[in-house]
Amino acid sequence: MRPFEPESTNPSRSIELNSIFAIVTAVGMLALGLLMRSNTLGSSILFRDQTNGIRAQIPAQWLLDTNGGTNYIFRAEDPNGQPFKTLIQVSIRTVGPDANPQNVVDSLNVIGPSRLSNYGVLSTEPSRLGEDEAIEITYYYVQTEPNPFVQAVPIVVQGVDLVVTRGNQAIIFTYRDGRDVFEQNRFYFENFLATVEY
Amino acid sequence: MSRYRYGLVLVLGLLSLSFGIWRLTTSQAQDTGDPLVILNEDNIKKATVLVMQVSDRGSTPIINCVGTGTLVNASGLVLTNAHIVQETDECTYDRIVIALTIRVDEPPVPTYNADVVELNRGYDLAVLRITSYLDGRLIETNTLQLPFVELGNSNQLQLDSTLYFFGYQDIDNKVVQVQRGTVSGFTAEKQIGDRAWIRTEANLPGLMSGGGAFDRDGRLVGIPTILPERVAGTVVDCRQIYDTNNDGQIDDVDRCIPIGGPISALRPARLARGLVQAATLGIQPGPSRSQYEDPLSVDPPTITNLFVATGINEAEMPINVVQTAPTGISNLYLFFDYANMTNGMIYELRTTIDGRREQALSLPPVAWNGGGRGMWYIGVSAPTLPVGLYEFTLFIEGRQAASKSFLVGGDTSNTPQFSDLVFGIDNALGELTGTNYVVPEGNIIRARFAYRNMAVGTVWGFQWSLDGVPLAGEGGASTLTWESENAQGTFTDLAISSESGFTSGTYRLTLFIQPNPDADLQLAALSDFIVAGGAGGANNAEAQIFSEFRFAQGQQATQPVNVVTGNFAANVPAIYAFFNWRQLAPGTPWTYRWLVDNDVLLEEHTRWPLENDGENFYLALIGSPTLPDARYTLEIEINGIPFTSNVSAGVGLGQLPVEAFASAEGIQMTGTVIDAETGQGVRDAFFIVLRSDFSVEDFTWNANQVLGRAQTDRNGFFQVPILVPRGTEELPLLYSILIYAEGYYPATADGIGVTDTTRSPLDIQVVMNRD
Repeated sequence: MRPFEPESTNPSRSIELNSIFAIVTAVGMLALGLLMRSNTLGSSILFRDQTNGIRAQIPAQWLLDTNGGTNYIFRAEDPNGQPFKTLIQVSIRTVGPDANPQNVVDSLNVIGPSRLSNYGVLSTEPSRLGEDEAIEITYYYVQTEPNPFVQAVPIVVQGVDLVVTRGNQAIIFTYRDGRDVFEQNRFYFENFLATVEY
Repeated sequence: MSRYRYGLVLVLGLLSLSFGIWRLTTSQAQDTGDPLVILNEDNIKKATVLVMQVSDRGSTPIINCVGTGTLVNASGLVLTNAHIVQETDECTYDRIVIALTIRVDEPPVPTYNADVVELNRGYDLAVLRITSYLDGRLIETNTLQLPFVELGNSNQLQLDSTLYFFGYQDIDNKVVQVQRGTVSGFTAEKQIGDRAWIRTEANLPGLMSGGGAFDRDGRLVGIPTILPERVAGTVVDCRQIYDTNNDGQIDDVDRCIPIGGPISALRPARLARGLVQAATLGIQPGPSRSQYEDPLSVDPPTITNLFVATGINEAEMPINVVQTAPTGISNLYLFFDYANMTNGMIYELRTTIDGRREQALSLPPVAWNGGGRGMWYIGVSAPTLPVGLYEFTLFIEGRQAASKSFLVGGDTSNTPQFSDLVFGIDNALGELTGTNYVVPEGNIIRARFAYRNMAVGTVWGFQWSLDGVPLAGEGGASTLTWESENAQGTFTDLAISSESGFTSGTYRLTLFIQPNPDADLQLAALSDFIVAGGAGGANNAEAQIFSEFRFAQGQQATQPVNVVTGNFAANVPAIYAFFNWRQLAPGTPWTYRWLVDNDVLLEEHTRWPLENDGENFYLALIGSPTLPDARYTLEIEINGIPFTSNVSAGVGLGQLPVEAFASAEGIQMTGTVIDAETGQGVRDAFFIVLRSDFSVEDFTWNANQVLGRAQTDRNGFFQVPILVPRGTEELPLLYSILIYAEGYYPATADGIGVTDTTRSPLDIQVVMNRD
C-alpha cells in the first residue's frame, strides 16, 4: 500500500500569484470604476423643444422640468447635488427688434432682487456662444427654505445667465449651483452650451 | 465628496450590492398609551399656534394681547376665537402675528403676519389667513405646507366622551401642552340652539382660548372659549409681561395683557366648518343694502323678567314655563328680557344649587351677540339635573345684572299649566289657521295653547304687547276665570282684534295662572311672535314678506347691475341677491345664510335695518379674487320660519370643482432619511414622490411624472411641499417614491397607498446605505 502523502505546494508562489491577481483585479475594477464614472458624468440625453427651437444634450438622470410656462422652457436639476441641486435652465423672453443682450441683462438685474433673496451681481461681461455675441452675467443670491419646520441653513447660490438674442427673442441660458461647488460643476454647463442649438 | 472620489467609492461599493440597500417604513401616529387613541400628538402640537396682537411703535413691535389658534389648512388658515383678533379697549393692534410651534418642546416662534378673513362674532370664532413674513414679504399661500388638523364631527360627542386639549398653559411657559378631559355636558344658547357650548371640567388655562379640543381620532371638535373676566367693567384677569410702553422695564405702567380665567366651555367645531370652508374657497360676505345698528343708549344694560322653561320650540320660544321642575328633569332654559346691550359685551351665568357653585350648569364669560334688546335664553342640561334650589345669576361686564331662584324636585303633577303657545289668523269660518310665529298683518290675531290640570274657577289672565308696550283697549289684557270642565286640552278662544289692523312688529302674549286662591297670578306661558307681511300662500294665512328675488353682478345706487337670470359666468368677483320687502318693521330679528352647494358657509342673525316697505334690498358674496364655480343659495328665516325657497344661482359649472377642498383633504407627506450606519439624518437628500399613475420603473426623470419633491434638512427631515391626494378604501391611490443622496445608494419604493382614512401627515422613514 502506498502511504498517503500530502500534495506538495509552493506557498510563496501561491501568494505571489494571488497578489498579482488581486492587483490586476483592483486595477481592473479601478479602470471599470473610472470608465463608469466617466460614463456617468458624461452621459447625457437629448432635449428637444420644437416649439421654441431649442435642442441640446443635458445630463442624464437629472430631473427635467418643462412645466415652467412662461418662466422657462426647461429646467434640469441634479438630484444628487448638495446642498444646492445643480441647475441648468433655458428661458426665452420677447424683446423689441432693436434690443441687444445688454438690454435683457438690465432687465434681469431689475427683476432679480424681487425674485431672489439678497440678489447681487458679481460681473457682467461680453461673451460668445458659438458665433453669436452674448453677455454673461454672474450673480449670487441666498436660497432659504420657506417651510419653517424644515431646519435648513440658507444656501449661497452663484449663478450665470448667458444671454443671446434671436430675432425678437432673448434666450437666457442659466446655470446655478452652490457657491462652493460652482466652478467645480461648471463643466455641466459648458458641456450643455457646447451642444446647444437654437 | 468630489466626483472623482465618488467613482472610486462606486467600485468598492459594487461589492456591497449583495447587502440590503435600504429599508423604508411608514408610521402615522404616536403611541399615546391608549390603544383606542390614534392621536397624532406631534402634528397637533405643530398645528397649534400662538396668535398675537402686535402694535408697531416705531421699529419696536409691542405685543398687546395673545391667544391660541389652530392651523386648519396647509396653506395657512388659522381657526381661533373672534375676540382674540378683534380690537377692544384692552387690545389694539397694527397686525396679527402667528407664532408657530416649530419644535414641540420649545416655545412658539413668531413667523408670519395674518389677516382676518372670516369672523362670526356671535360664535366668537374667526379664521385668519397667513399672508406675509414678519418682514412684510408677501407669501403665496398656496406654496405653504404647514401642519394642520382636520375638523371633526362635534355632533357625535356624547357625555363623557374623551377630549384632548392642546394649547399654551401659561404665558410665561409657552410650550404646547396636552390636557385630557371629558365632555361634562352641553349648554344651549339662543341663535345656536342646543349644543351651543360643549362643557368640560378639564379646567383649562385661559390662554388656551381659541385653541383646540380633539377627539380620539385627532380631529378638532371644539374650540375652548373664554373672555377675560371683568369686575365692574374692568378686566381683572391680566398680566404685565411685556414692556409695552418701551421704557426698558416691565412694571405696573405697562399694558396688562388680558388672559381669561379657567375654561369650561368649547364652541363646537360644527360652527366653524362653514367659516373654514368659506375661507378655503376665498368667499366672504359682501356689502349689503344696509346693516342694522342698535340705537345708542346711555342707559346701563338691563336684564328683566327671568323665567324658566323646560323646552324650546322651532322659533326658540319657551314651550312651557315652569315655576318648579320635577325630579329627573334633564333640561332647563333660563329666559330673560334684555335692553341696552351691546354686541361684544361680556356676559356670564353663574349657577348655584343649594349655594354650591355648579360650573357645568353655568356659562363662563363669553361675548354677547344678541343686539340691543330682545329675549334670550341659556339652556343647561345633564342626564338628570340635581335636585335642589337653583340660583341663576347673570352678570354683564362683571356686574351682577339679575338673578332667579328655581326649585328642582318639587311636585308639579297637579300644577295648572299652559304650554305650546302658537299664533295664527282666522279663516273665513273664524277658525285658527296658519299657525306659527310669523303672522301676516290683519285685523285679528288668534292664539292657541295647551292646558292641563285646569279646574273650573281657576283664575288666569293674559296680556298682549307690542315691542314691550302693553296693547291698550279691550282684548289687550284681562283676568278671567277658567270655565272649561276639561282639565286638559287645547284652547283656541283667545284672540285680539283691531279695526285698524295690526301693524308689523314684535308682539308678545303672556299668560298667567293663579295656582291657588292665596297666590298671586304667576307667569304660565309666554311667546313672542312677529307680525309682518301680507296674507297669502296656503289658506291665505302665510305671511308674504319678501318677493322678486333676483341675482345680479353688482349694484349701483341700490339698483341691480347686470341681472343674471341663468347661471353667472365663471370667475365673477361677486354675486348680489336682490329682493323686495313689505310690512317688515325696523328692528325685526331675521336670519340669512348663504349656502354653497348646499353647505351653510355664512350665517348672520341680525335685525331688519330699513323702513317697512321697499325694493332692492341686497346681500352679496365676494370672492378672492373671484367666486369659485358652485351653486349659491340664499336662505332667509324669521323666528325659525323659512321665507325663501330655492333662491339660488349657479356660477360657472354650477358646482364646486372636485379639488375645491383638495388643499384641506390631501395628506401631508413627511419623513426622515437616516444613515444606516450612524443612525444620523442624511442631509440634502432628494425625495421624489411620483404621480399615482407612474411607478419607479416608469420614471424617466421627467418632472411631469413627479407629484412633489423635497430636500432633507440638517436632521434628515423632509416635507413634500404639496398635499398628496387621497384615494378611497376601495380604490386607494398608490404612490411611488425615490430618494437620492450623494454617497448613498438610491432608494425606491412602489405601492404606498393613500386612502380616505390615511392619517396626515404620512410619516416615512428611510434608511439608506452608503455606496
